[in-house]
Amino acid sequence: MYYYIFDIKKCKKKSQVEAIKDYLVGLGISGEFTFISSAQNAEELTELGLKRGYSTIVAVGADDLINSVANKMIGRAEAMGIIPLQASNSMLTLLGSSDWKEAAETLRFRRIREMNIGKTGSGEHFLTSLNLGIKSPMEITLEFKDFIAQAWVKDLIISNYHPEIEKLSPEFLDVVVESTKKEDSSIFKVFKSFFGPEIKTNENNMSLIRARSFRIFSKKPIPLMSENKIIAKTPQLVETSDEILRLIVSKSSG
Amino acid sequence: METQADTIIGTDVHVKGNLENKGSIQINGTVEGEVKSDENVTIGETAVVTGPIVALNVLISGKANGTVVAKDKLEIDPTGSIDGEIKAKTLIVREGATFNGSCSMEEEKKTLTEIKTDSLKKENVKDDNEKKEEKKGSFWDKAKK
Repeated sequence: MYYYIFDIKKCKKKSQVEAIKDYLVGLGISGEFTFISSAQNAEELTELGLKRGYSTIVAVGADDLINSVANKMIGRAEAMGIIPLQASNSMLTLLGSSDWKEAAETLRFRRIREMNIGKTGSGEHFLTSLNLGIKSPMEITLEFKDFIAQAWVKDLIISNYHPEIEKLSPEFLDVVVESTKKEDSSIFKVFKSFFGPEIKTNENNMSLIRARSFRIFSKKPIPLMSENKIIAKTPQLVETSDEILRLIVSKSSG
Repeated sequence: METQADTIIGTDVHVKGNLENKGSIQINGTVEGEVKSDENVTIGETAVVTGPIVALNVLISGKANGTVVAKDKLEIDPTGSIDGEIKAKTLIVREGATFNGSCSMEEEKKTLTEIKTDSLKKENVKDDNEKKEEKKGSFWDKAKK
């Protein structure tokens, strides 16, 4: 019934794999255990598990593995489970489990949350959020259905689920932008750093836009990151999935 | 006015097009186009809006160039300025605010459905009264007989 896909690199020790397996057997939710490798990636293993008729596919690893499994689980009647290993805080809050043991126990109760997830035009899905992989402000254009927004962006979060952002509608993504003034040329920058006024972070430079779908443009391609993994690059379409993911979560899921 | 907004446009963000939302909108940046909300629109001190603003309540602390329609209340703060026509049920202009344009304050116009419903209600009341009269008449007639 359960098909487990492990990312062994996320295990602290090799013995952790055995510890997890034993724990799952003890809970009575044992199944087939598989491991991602250069020969078979997470998506291929997920397809294999579905083909073999398992009703629950469980990703055992961090956000990148979880998103890869979700790519194949979206729109399916089978449920997806997660045992987080080095996963982000957002992912842990979404699951309502603080560690792998709690998550394993959650699997047993099969409390299913049907949810829309985020999707890029290149076909990559994300459960929690994406951010721009930039170190200095970049000029970004966001194209929504009825308007475009342009700004020099210091940080940008595209959130399907984020514990600190109140989600008003499950069908909308929350786009949070931290903007700044147009970047000065390097001479002015040096001048300002010595003689200019102190620049303070201002709450007014935060934007929040909710949309089902939008496009993101930049002069140079910028990576869109899910945790530390690049899942797409600009220009890119980002939207909520039309289909539903059936995810097993705990009662305290955020 | 409620401060929490569903949509926020930050300073240094330039928007072109129509911003329409059921929930409240807060603008601190620049907007070229229509801003429309079923709830509140707040134009912050740093904001410049060029285009019509339509909402239930509108608070102007920045610059608004265009028609401003507040179905309920329009407030212009000391730092606020409006260049254009304003329509509001209630208008509050604070000392220091700038307003160039025309102003009309009228009761919210009823929609066609509301008008039809009202006239139907009136007709029903009229019918009821006529029936009562008829009943009265028939009683007195009977009594006379």
